[in-house]
Amino acid sequence: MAVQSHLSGVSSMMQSDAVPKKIPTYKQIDLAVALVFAVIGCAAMVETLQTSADGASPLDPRYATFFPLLVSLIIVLASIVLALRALRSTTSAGVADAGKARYGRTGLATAVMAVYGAAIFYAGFWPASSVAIVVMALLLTGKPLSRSEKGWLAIVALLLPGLIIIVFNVFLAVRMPTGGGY
Amino acid sequence: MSADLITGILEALSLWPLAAALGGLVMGVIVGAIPGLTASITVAILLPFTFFMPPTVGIGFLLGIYKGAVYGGSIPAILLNTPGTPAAAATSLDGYALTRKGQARRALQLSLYASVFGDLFATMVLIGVAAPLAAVALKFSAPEYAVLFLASLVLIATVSGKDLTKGILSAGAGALIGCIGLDAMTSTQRFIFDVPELLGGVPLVPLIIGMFALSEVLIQVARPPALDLSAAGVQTTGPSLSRSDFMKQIKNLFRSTSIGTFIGALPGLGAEIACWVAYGISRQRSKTPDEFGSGSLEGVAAAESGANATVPATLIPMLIFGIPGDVVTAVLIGAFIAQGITPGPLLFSAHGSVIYALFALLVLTNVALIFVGKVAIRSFSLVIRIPNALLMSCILVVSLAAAYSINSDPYDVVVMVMGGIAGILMRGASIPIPPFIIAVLLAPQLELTVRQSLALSDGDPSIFLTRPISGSLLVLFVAFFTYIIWKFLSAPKASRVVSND
Repeated sequence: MAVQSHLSGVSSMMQSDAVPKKIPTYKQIDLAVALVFAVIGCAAMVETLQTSADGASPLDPRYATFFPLLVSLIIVLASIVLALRALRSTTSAGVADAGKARYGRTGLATAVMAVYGAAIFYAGFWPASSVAIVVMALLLTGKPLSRSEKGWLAIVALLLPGLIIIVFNVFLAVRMPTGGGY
Repeated sequence: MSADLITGILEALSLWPLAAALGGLVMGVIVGAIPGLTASITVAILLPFTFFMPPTVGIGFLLGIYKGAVYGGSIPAILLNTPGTPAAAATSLDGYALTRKGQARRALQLSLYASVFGDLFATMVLIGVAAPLAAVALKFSAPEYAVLFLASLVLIATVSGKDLTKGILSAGAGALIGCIGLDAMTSTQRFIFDVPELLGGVPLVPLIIGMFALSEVLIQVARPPALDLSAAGVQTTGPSLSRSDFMKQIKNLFRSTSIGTFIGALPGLGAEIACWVAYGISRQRSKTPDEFGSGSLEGVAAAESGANATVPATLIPMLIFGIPGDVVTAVLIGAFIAQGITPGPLLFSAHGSVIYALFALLVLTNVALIFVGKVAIRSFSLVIRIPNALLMSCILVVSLAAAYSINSDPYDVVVMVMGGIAGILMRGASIPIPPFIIAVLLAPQLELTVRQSLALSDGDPSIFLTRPISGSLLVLFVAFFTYIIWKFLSAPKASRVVSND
């Protein structure tokens, strides 16, 4: 009985989001940003120096290498400032509403978006778009749809891609992909 | 000039340009009233639809959306305490307080009239200064443009975000993206990585669609709106705004509109900042500052007129120098170029009638906003019944179709998807996106003009100082930059350590 009570308590806590999630702090996010930008800046510097041609000095502002080098340097310096600032920070506060955010679902939506981007060329714009509308709407609501919502979703998913095809074909002379690859 | 003016006005009064601008205005008000949708998203995804239209029809349509969206955001801000766009954030403070006091109608009417006042005033400033400024800009050559682009880029990087360092990182990353492709002077390949599609660089419009529209869809998946708008009660009742109520605001309106016009004309700031600055200064100058935040008509008037005045003002640097005032004008530059019109000082001599037609449309849509706004207030309960999930799914599909239609090229779709992923990561890390977008556009021009200047002077960098206009601009820029650095260093350490706190 006690175990059952405990389990139901845990279950209700999980349902109400009361269990604290491990969320990133501002300090961790700033450090990650600094690291990513420092890598981008360094990589850009290396790439620029490799493309420096004709024995021209990469530091001569009249040549094509100077500006990318300068920008890369600014990025690296700004990353160092951001990293130092984050390291000196004493806060352990987390992102304000990260506890309520559904990051797993966002990852899924990002994957859906990427797959949809490719699918229009293989399955065709109309079918791929119809599926994408339904999947994305379900991900966005996150709750069972009412009867009228299902009806609207079906109508929009079926008709909107067709409408887009007609508008683009008639006015812009753009032929949307019909499938079969690029 | 007078012939261009008359031709332009007649063109603006013809059926299709007027219908398109009014249609854009209505669409903009609706879009602005829906939280999560902004002018930049709508203008970006509808841009390809304007390619087949004549310039006055297509660009007039986009300008109507821009204008309508900045006003439309105030309706949910006042009625539901949920700003439809970031530009309406300051309006919600006093607007919603007035609604809670049963004075929603007064707040809505004042917000509408203040928006129209601010917009009209700034449109007149635009019309008044554009042609003379363009005449001055004709005297500019590469060194002057180089200093101007540099100052704009630094301003955008340092002021448009909350965090100076992240603003610089964002603009730096945008500048690097702008370097991708063939160098404009020597055709040197940069950051190509053996991908032939990158030779032409990264296309701006698919990137903007991804970073704004797609990332908004993804953000809403992670964080659905806290308030179910379709279930929210909307009450637009209460006493009407009297003539004396409005006349009491005239001085406040002139001050706030001037602030909005000035901020709008500076690159990279826009309505989101203007509304707060106008609100803050109005509070400082008010005889009753204690009423601010608890239902002050002055607060509503200041925020709305300040925000809406930025719309025509952002067109000043865009039309004269080709420098975007904000993200929407960055997209509008794309619209102009697609129509074969390059923004710059030659615009008035080469396409005078089109520009005057667009000015006339700005004035006409301003008058129309009074009627469209009144209808929108009455119909607001219908607008918020549109299911958010359905709307966002449709935006995903329209965004993809729009990105593809620009060149019928899968590469644009890839850029859009990558832009969406980058957008959500940047938003998650509190990195401002506007400096990135504007740097993609401005950095290649900055590099080109610097190199052209050095070619003129045989490599002597003193050319930037010895020419009177570029020298003066450079001194002004250095003074401003020193001030920014001084402010940053003299700020309390706690606010510098982790600004997001």
